[in-house]
Amino acid sequence: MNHYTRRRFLKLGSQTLAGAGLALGAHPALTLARAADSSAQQSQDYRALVCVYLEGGCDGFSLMVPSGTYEHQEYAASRGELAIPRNKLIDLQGGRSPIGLHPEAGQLQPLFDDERLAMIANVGTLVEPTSREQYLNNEVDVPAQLFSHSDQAIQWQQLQGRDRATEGWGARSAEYLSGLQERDYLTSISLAGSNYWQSGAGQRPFSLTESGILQYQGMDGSNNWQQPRRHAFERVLDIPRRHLFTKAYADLQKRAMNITAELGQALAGNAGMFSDQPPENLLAQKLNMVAQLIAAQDQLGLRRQIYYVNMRGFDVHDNQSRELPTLFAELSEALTFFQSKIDMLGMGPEVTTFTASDFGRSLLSNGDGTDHGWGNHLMVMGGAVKGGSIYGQLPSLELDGPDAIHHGRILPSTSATQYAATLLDWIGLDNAALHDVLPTLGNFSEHDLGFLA
Amino acid sequence: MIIIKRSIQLVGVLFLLTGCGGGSGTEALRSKEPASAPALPASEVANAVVDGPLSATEAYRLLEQGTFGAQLDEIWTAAEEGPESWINRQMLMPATFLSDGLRKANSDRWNEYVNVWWRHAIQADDQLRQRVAFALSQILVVSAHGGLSEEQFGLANYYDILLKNAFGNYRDLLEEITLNPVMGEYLSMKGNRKPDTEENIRPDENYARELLQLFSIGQVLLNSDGSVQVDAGGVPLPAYDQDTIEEFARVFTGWHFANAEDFRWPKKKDYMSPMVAWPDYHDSGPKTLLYGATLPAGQSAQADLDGALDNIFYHPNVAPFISRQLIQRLITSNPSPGYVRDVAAVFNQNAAGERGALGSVIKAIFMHREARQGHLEYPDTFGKLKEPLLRVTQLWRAFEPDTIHYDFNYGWVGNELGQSPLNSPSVFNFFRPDFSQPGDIRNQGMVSPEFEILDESSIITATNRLLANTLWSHNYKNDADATRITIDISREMVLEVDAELLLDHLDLLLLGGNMSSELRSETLQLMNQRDYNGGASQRVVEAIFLIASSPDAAVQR
Repeated sequence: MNHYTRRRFLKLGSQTLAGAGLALGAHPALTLARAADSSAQQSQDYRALVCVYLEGGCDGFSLMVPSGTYEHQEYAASRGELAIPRNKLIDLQGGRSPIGLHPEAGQLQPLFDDERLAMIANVGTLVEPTSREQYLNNEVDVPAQLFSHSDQAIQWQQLQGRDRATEGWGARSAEYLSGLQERDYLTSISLAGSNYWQSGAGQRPFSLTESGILQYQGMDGSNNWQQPRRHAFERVLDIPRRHLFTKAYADLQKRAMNITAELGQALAGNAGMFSDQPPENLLAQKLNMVAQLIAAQDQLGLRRQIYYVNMRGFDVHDNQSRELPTLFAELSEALTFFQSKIDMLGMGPEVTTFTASDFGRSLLSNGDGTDHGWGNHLMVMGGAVKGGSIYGQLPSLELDGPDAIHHGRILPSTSATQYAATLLDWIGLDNAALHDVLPTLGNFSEHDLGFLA
Repeated sequence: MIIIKRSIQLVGVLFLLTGCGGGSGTEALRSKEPASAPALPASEVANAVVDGPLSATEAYRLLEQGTFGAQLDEIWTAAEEGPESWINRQMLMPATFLSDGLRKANSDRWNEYVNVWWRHAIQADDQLRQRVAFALSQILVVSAHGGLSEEQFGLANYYDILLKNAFGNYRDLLEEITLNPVMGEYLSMKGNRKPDTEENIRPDENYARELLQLFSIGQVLLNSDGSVQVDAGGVPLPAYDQDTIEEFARVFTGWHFANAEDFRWPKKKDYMSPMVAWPDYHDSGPKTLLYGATLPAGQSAQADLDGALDNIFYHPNVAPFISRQLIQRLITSNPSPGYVRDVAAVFNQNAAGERGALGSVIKAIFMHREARQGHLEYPDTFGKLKEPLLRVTQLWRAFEPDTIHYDFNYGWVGNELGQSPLNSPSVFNFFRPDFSQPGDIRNQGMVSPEFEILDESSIITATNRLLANTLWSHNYKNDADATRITIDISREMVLEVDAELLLDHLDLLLLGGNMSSELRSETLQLMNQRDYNGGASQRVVEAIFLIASSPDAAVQR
């Protein structure tokens, strides 16, 4: 069935997983919490990770702001005119939480208070544990090209060490997860096209847009007039070719033809459940499509999936006070909407959504915006999340304080690798697989940050 | 080569039958001269080919690389002229400016500049300049995405800078884009001000960072052939660090709209004129730049900017970094190190001793042996995936629509094909020069930038677009929408009586004479299935669609 993925389990010597009759319990690399019987493709065991990637470097320090008197003063001194006043913050847990939300992110409050949303403090692309002194004295490996968008976005999505690699941690995980399902080409799905997280030597996501499955116009296979055209078009794709680029183009076209036909049918079956319009908000529309795809997992015999969704516009060098509120309002609306859809499907505990971004932003203002930083506050959402808590350590936000480098850029205290390991452990990778997918995990003592049940 | 010979005869026939002369209708697009009259650079690159007549296939390759699409008469003209003479003729043509076209369009449609861009791509005579400017627009990126979508004239004016300097000097180009207010807005240099320690404000690093990372030297030290310099442990050597960025950020302070009445909150916004300096907001302290060069204290904003741009311009990375990307945009995704080295050498110093002479660089890129013969040397990997916009312009140019209706509107192309002029989602362009498609391409260590925006969704929209532009929009279709561009298949209708002749012709026009026997027989078979009275135009457009939508037509080789 599948011609695109290099199945990592083959490398590990398992011979039991070919085709549909997967012997789940025998898989050496997977610990499936609720694995059903060995006949596979049962609906009761399904898990999905949804990555909401915030492009440009989301200012987590404006989304989740210290609420304590002293901590807020420290933050306000650093951020100057851009600081959000303490009395404008949205209280969490009746004000008992050490952080408050940005005033436009109030929709997230109930999710946090209901313990379905957790905050992970000061996460960043660390290669190994890094103290301020070690960083300043060049004593440890840090990711190449810190503070550069393209490099740190790739770093976040690959996590293969200090340098850029050829595989993302999503793609490497998918090699394990794909063995669980016949339609392994639906393990990785992107609502944002190509991305580094889901791309590897033999892995790439299946991409579609918020509008869903597209049809080939004028080539409907069921129409007598159009059939000869479609057949000729398909046969042309099968002509033997030697040029790598024409071959890759033909491969992609064939893949699009085959998968969209199949997926279109599956989605049509659930269309009734999604008849109401999502909010006028691109992220919400993309997540709405993710929810539709997740709703079809049973029909498609899927057990494990990873989704990639993006939101743009977070690089607020300018006009931060005007642009961030809109972005946070959209982000909160979209996340809340998505969780309500997943809950409606009764799949709350089976879907975990997490945020990631190039980097956090500097605390120092450039007048009306902020520059590229490093550590960042992130969010994890879903029924399996032990929410209502803050994991990791809240940093000092003092410009030249104990957690700051380069005047106002916060050194991460938790590695993105640990964050990823916690998520991947939940979706079913065992210890050996985690270390294989995340080669620097061994540099850190804590592999499970504890935010997932 | 029988196919080509046949087509030569065919051209004569067509001239008699249809009188297609071309040229009419494009006169109105011509406009003012570039700032400096173009001087023709000598063919000075090492490993250049000798100018001389080309086969039709070779001429087709030249036009695929150097225009928005080959046209039949131009194939024969270029074949007769040879590559250097063709380039010389192109370089002497007056520039067709986007803002002139936009003014002439006199339309209040919000995306009219995109429609004008289409018109020029399809009809302008100065094709090489247009193609190079488009390439530059994907290196020196500004985008209507974000706050600039309302500033059509400003955007068109920015594009004109690229057109004007396409064969000019890269240092001039850097200065013009740096002071352009659209760039100033896009990368927030406009309004950037000196540090204010009391208010805890530091200069904005945005422009400084992207100028170094994307517009000039890149992040790591390069050898003259574009390969990366590494330390003893194999780790790439960074070209600068965060401190360098912070120093350059201080350089680019104190600039604002030419008509701004207030630096902090101006009400007047001139998106056309270069920004002007506001001494009070410029950081006039000393600054340390690349290679430890310094700018002394007390300099004006302009003097600091001049010094900083010189510091960047003379960095040895610029030549290989920019040359390689221009080669990627015009010729091939994976140029050999030797190709990059030879072109970079011309960038560093042309025959007249000038550094950064883009006319010389462009000529070197096209005249280098690898550009002209790389497809023979590396038959399985040479070339590039065509960008979505180029696939559409190539189809339209091949079938030379006579006129474009004044209501023509394809300004929304970005939503459909994921690419639109001056509309990339970020300063990192639609795709990165080092993107590598997973699978054989990645496994063989090749890059394929344009594949970054081709996925299972966009390949369907691109295919649908080609289908709509052929099957549903040709001049023999009675109910074709006049405001759409209709392809002119009059020539092909003449040939339709002899399917073999028609296929020879389409082979040259759409694939440069490289159609495989399998594609040919599939096309013939499909045409035969439409064999009924009055089905001639249907047979023609079925053939065009099948060939134009094939993987072979998707790749420039």
